[in-house]
Formats: sequence, structure tokens, C-alpha cells
Amino acid sequence: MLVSRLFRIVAGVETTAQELSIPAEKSATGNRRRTAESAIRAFFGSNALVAIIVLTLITIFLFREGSGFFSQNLANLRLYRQAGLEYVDIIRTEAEKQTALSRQLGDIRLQQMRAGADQAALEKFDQFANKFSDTGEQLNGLLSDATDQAQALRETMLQLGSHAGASVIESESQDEASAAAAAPAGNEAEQMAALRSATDKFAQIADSMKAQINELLAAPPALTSAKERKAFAKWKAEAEAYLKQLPAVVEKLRAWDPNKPVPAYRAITSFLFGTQWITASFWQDWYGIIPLFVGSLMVSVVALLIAVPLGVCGAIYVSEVASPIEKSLIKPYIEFISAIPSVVLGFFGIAVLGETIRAISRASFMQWVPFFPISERLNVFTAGCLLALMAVPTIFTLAEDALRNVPRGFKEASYALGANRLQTIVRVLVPASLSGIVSAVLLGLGRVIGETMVVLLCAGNRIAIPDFTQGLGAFFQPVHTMTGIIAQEMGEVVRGSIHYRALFMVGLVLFAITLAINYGAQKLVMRYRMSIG
Amino acid sequence: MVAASSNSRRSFVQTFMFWTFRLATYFVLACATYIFLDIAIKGSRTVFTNHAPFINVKFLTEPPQTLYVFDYQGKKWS
Repeated sequence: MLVSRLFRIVAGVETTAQELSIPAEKSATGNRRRTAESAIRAFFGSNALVAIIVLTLITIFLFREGSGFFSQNLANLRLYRQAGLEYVDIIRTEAEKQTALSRQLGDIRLQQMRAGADQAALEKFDQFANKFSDTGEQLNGLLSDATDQAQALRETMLQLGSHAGASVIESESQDEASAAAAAPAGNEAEQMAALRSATDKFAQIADSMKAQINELLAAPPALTSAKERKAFAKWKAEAEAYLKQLPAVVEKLRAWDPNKPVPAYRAITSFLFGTQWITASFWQDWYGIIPLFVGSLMVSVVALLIAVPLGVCGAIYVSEVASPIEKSLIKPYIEFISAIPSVVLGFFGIAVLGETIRAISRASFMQWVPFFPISERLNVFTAGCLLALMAVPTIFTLAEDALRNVPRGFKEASYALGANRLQTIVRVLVPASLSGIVSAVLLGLGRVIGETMVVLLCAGNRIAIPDFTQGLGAFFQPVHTMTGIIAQEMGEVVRGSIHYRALFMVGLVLFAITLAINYGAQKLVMRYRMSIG
Repeated sequence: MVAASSNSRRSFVQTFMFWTFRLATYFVLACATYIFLDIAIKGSRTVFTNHAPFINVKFLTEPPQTLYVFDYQGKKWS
């Protein structure tokens, strides 16, 4: 009895002890798990924090380096006006117009020669063209003198630091200041007066030119074919328009005032809407982003026009049409394209693609295309084709994932309603995965617009807005891009100079464009998201 | 008759579209293959030789000649 009671007591104690020991063990395991989870969480959290801090620092650095650009640009623009460079550029524009008209005459002569005009007719035309060219001699002489005077005045102003924003310019361009120190100091007012005396000379030259050109136009050369006559009539109208606007130019020169203040917003607008990017010029540097922006935009448009159909069609084929063996081969193969280094693709573009495109454009069977043959092998189209190849893996992979993630029930329901495979793809699968496809396209665009090496090697690097009067031929002209200019010029600029800061501003614009694309992608995804849950 | 014609047209359109997808996919593959082959063939002409040890050791070990701009007094300057 006692023994049995003892046994029960011992059993009870053991049971109690066991019951007590299990929660303790569980608690210890839970504590260990929690500690491990906390450590993992802390590890990933700290990594994310480091990434955010680095990105923030990069952004701050970009803004810090770029922010000084506008004040320097404003000082640059003020010096441009106060030293009379702006005044001289009014005269320069007229001289360039006259030269352009003279060049047009050369083109008409070439047409005449190709049409088989006789030697006598060509000689008469040459006499006419030479006389027209000579009418610009006085104007070019005046321009040359005015250029020297304005440069001397600028050097004087830099030496004396008398222009608005002198401190910015002086602190940033030591070389220019030291060069100016060698220049003789003169009276600014006198120099400006001497420069502005060009107005009266210009008025006299304009009258003289008018008389000479009108005399020439009264006796035009005889042209044989209708095509040349039409070209000459067009030229004549342009020459008359040129003469007609000369009095207005004289008035403009008279009204020009070096002391007229340059508004602060010009520093921003001349950058954002400026059509010239001219650096290290003897005359005046300009930092207008439009030619670079247009270049980036055109290359991206070509790349996306090629990459989007190929990428999306490839994704549909692999996702819905291809056999399992094809799927297992095609998907990794296309994804492998992204492993090609961009510099290798650029090299391929220079050595193979550019040459091939130019050779095709010169083939006799392609001469029906109005802008063929092309003269430059490195152009928008060459760069766009290679960028398309770089964007295809991104678009293909993401679009294929989006199509594959559409629930099976959607497809089955469509088949149950009697739709065939194509109808199911077009009416069900693509709309259901549209958000993913749009994201894929926008990420492809982000890849294209941020690419540097291919555009630097293959886009031709001519900093000018293409001639859109040639229609689609503009896409076969060389351009420069925002990424390309940073890569090309950043290594050569003086740290802290206006050129250095201008490149950072280009980087900031690129940054803003990328942000806008990502924001747009998110908005589009939200708008077109179809419930597939 | 009308239903049969419509089915035939749908079938044709489907086949046409699937061939379009197929051609687009294989066009990308063909472009990539051409680039890979171009790089491989042109590169292998330089890296490999047709005699033992069949590898252009000189190319792989010597510094690039293009970095020298001019010779002056028997010395190469860059």
C-alpha cells in the first residue's frame, strides 16, 4: 500500500518535473529562434540602410556639384552681353546667312554639272556665284574686326573684374584670368564705343550688298533644266528675303544695349532649352541640353521600336506556343544576350553593323529610298539597333514571367467558352499580364536611355540636332547623347569649372528622366492592373 | 458554308500570327548567334595558331603595341 503510494508520489513528481521541463525547453528554443531572426533581420536591415545611405549620398553629391552651374552660367551670359560678344554674334549671323546662300549656289552648280550642262553655261553660273560670294567680303572683314575688338574688351573686363558676376568667373577660370593679365588694360567705354561703331559700317555694307545683289538678281544666269530653275527660284526668294531683313538687323544693332540686365532665369532656360553645346571655344561656351536630349530620345525610340515587338512576340511564343524543348533552349539563350559586354557590342557596331548598313544604303536596289546612300556609318540607327539587342532580354524575360503568372483558370475558362489559342492569348492572357508587359517595356526603356558605351561608340558623337527636314533620314545622322557626353568629357574638364558643373547638370536631368520613367511605370501598372487573384 | 469559311480564316490568322511570333523569336536568336560567332571566329584567329602549342602566347603575354606613340632614340614613348 505504502509502496504503491510511494510509487504514485514518485510518478507524480516525475510527471510534474517533466511537465515543468518541456515549457522551459520550448522557451529556450523560441528564444534562440527569436535571436536568430533578429540577427537576420538586423543583417538585411543594415544592408538596406547602407544602400539607402549610399544612394542618398550619391544624390546629394550630384546636387552639390551641379547646383553651382546656374550661377556660373548666369555670369557667363552676362559677360557675353557686357563684352559685346552678343553684339558681334548679330553681325556673325548675317555673315553666315550670306555664306549659306553662297553655298546653295554651289549645290545648284553641282546639280547643273550632273545634268550635263555645257561648259559655257557653267562658266556663266560660276561668274554669278563668285560675284555673289564677293558681296560678303566687306561684311566678313567687319566681322573679323568686331570679333577682335570684342575679345579684347572681354579680356579687359576679365582683367579688371568689372563685369557682373566677375567673382564667379575669376574664381573658376584661372587660366583665362592669367591670359587676360597679359592683355593691355584699356578703357572699357572707349573699347565699347569703338565696337559699336560697327553699326554704321554694317548699315553702309548692307546698302552696298543690297545694291550689288539686286544688280546680280536682275541678270540671273540661264539654266537648262526645270529642276535647276526651280532650285534657283527658291534660292532667289531666300536671297530677296535676306536683303529685306537687313534694315531690321541694323535697327537691332542700334537698339542693342550692353547694360541691359540678363534675367536670372536665362541661366536655366539657356540650359534646358539651349540648342547649342559648345565647349572650350575661343569665343563663347554654350551649355544647351537639347541636342543631347534629342540624341538620347531618338536612339531610345529606334531601340524600343525594334526591341518591344521582338521582346513581346518572343515572350508570347515561348510562353504559349513553343514546345517544351524549344522553351528550354530559347529562354536561356535570349537571357544570355544580356551577358554580352556593352563595349563588345559597341565594337561590333563599329566594325560590322555600321559598315553593313552603309553598304546596304549604297546598293543600287536601295536607291529608291530618298535619304540613301548615307554618309555616316555611325548614326542613330546603328546605335538604336544595338541598344535594341540589349533591351530585348529585359523585355523578353519580364514579359514572359508576366504571361506565365496569369492563373491557369483564365486560360481554361477561355477555352471552355470556345476561344482558340490566338484569341485566348490576345483577349485574355495579354490583357491580364499587361501591367507586367508595360513594366517590362519601361524597364527596357530605362536600360536603353541609361546605356553609355554603345551610344558613345556607335551614335557618331556629333553635338547637333539632326536635320528633320530630311524626314526619316534624320535617323541616319550622327548624334550625341546625354550619357555619352558625360563619359566623353568628364575626364577632361577642370574640377569646379562651369563645364564640369554642366556635366553634372546633364547627369541630374538623366536622373530626373529615370525617376519619371519609374514613376510612370508604377502609375501605368496601377492603372492597368487586372485582378488575377 | 459561312461558318467553315470563318473557321478557316481564323485558323489562317492563328497560324500566321504564330509564325510571326516564331520568326521574331528566331530573328533575335539569329542576331545573337551571328554576334557570338563573329566575335568567336575573329577572336580565335588571333588567340589560336595552327601550329603547336596552338595558342598565340606572344599575343597573350606581350604588352599592347598600340600604346606606344613614337620611337625616339631607340626608346618607345607613349
